Amino acid sequence: MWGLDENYETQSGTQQNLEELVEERDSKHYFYLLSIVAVTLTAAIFALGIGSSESLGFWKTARIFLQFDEPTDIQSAILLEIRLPRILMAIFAGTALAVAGALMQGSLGNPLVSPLTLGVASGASLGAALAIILGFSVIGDGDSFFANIIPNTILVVNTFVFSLIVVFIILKLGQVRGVSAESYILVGIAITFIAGAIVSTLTYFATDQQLAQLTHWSFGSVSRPNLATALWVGVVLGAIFPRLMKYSWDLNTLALGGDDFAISTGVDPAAVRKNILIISALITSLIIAFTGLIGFVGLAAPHIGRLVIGNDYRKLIPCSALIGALLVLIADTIGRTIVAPIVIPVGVMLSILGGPFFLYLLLARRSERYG
Amino acid sequence: MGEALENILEVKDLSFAYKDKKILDNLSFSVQPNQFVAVLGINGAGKSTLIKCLNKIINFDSGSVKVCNKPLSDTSIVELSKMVSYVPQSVSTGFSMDVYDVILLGRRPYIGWRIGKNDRDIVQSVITRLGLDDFIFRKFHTLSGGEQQRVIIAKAIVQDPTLYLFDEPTSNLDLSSQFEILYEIKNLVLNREKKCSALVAMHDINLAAKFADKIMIIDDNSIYCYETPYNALNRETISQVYGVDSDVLYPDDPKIPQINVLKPNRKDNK
Repeated sequence: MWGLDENYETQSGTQQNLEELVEERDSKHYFYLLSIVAVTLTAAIFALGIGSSESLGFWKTARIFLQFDEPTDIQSAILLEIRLPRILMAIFAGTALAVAGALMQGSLGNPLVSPLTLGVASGASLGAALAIILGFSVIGDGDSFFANIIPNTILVVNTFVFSLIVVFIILKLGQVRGVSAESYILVGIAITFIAGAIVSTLTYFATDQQLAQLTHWSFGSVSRPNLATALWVGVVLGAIFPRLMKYSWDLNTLALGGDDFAISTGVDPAAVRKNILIISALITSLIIAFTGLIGFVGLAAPHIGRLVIGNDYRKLIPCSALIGALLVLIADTIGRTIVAPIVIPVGVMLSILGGPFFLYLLLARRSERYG
Repeated sequence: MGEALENILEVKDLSFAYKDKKILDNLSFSVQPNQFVAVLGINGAGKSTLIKCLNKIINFDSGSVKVCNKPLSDTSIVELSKMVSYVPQSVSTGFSMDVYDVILLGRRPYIGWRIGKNDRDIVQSVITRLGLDDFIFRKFHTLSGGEQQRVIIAKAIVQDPTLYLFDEPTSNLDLSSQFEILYEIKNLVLNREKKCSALVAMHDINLAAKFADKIMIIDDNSIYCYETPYNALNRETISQVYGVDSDVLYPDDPKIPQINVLKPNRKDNK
């Protein structure tokens, strides 16, 4: 009854063709990635050259940076000691937050998730509030080895530790309820409210000066770290990122089909989700400990990345990273030059500029559904 | 599998309860190579639960399951996914991908990071075989239900398993797509190079009778019968399990019964 196998023979002509088509698509994607790298580098050099004083053109800056031209003392001080750390931090912060966002969206299968969703932000705020208002710190008076490399040590360490503590609590409670994506998100929201209430209570008793300091912290700025700190952050991220790439396949499976689909493809969703959430929380905490709260980029960069390159995490992770870096760099550069010498915090600038841009992308390309 | 494998699947005393409600009660059966086994039963009989218990999606309470003579309890999820492919009723996409990449996911159990030439070759031959060439760069979510189902089946084939599990693969599909999908499954189990079998939960008794080598009917949390379509399907069974009066006809083939439902014969309908 069943005519079999005759038409199962593969035609080598078609096969060859398929392989070429796939290669063509992949090289197109790599070209996109390289283009964004080029744009980001150009933007970085451009950003190095402009500011409220010593505004130099692109070529002049490039020549100084590549050591073809000898900078004056003041140029050297402004470019290398003030602007370079800031630009590096913008790039690292954008990269890290965008990657954390992409990972969390994929592992939880939810396009609304950002690195700040899962309590990292509320934990960091709590740590900052405790340090600023109560003078409480997890490392005592901050007069330690850290103080030499990190400005404002107490605040940095406190926010880092508290955001990790809150994430840890959320992970543990999420596991009690079952390791589904929703349980993590719901527990995260509940804990965010609790931590928010504690911060509100603390601010109620704060002095005006403390309030101003806390508000200033919460704006988010990439100007706080010095060059050494920025480089250290870069080294840590550089060590973590290659390890993240090996989760690409698992994330593809989870993001496409959910838990049952993942299990039947050989992926343990509970284990992957836990690892991904811990890593995302770590890199997010690392960044916002130094910069304060920078939202939006962690939500938007992965989505813009999806519009550019699709949902394959092997390409989406690097693509989100680059777009995140570019977004934060552009926002910060405009923020510090548009009404110079007043500096508009990067977090604010990101939302003002990025929000409408993101909306435009979503609405203009709504057929490219990804959520 | 070089040596002859007696049973692809062996289930002994499998039980599963959800919050004190028994769903599967002491199921024992085995599946031989090259068999299309249709699992029938009313809604909520436990067809999907059984399928998911064989795949580690659900951890059953007691009993034992062996796939290719390996106990499920000693098999990791990755190892199991090389032996068992599962095709759900539908895959609701969180984040959509190119069809090619979806099918490539079937190689996930075999690869670390890089995709080898061998993996690409397997993917491409399956794409050609299922006639998916024109779809490979379309986004998965833009396909019709039948096309999506074929892509997921392609992904399952690429996984190169010995046992296929299908959970109502044709419920959302139109008539011709239902036939195409079942025909494809039939082709899989008739493949003589790789002796594999398929366990297919389904609702359409007549399609089951046409395609299946054996029919398993689950009723009252246990196996009501596990027989060839000819032996399994008769007026009494249909009345007992589904609560309907029916005629059994043999229109094409004296071995293949077709059920013509007349009327419900039970008020409570179980």
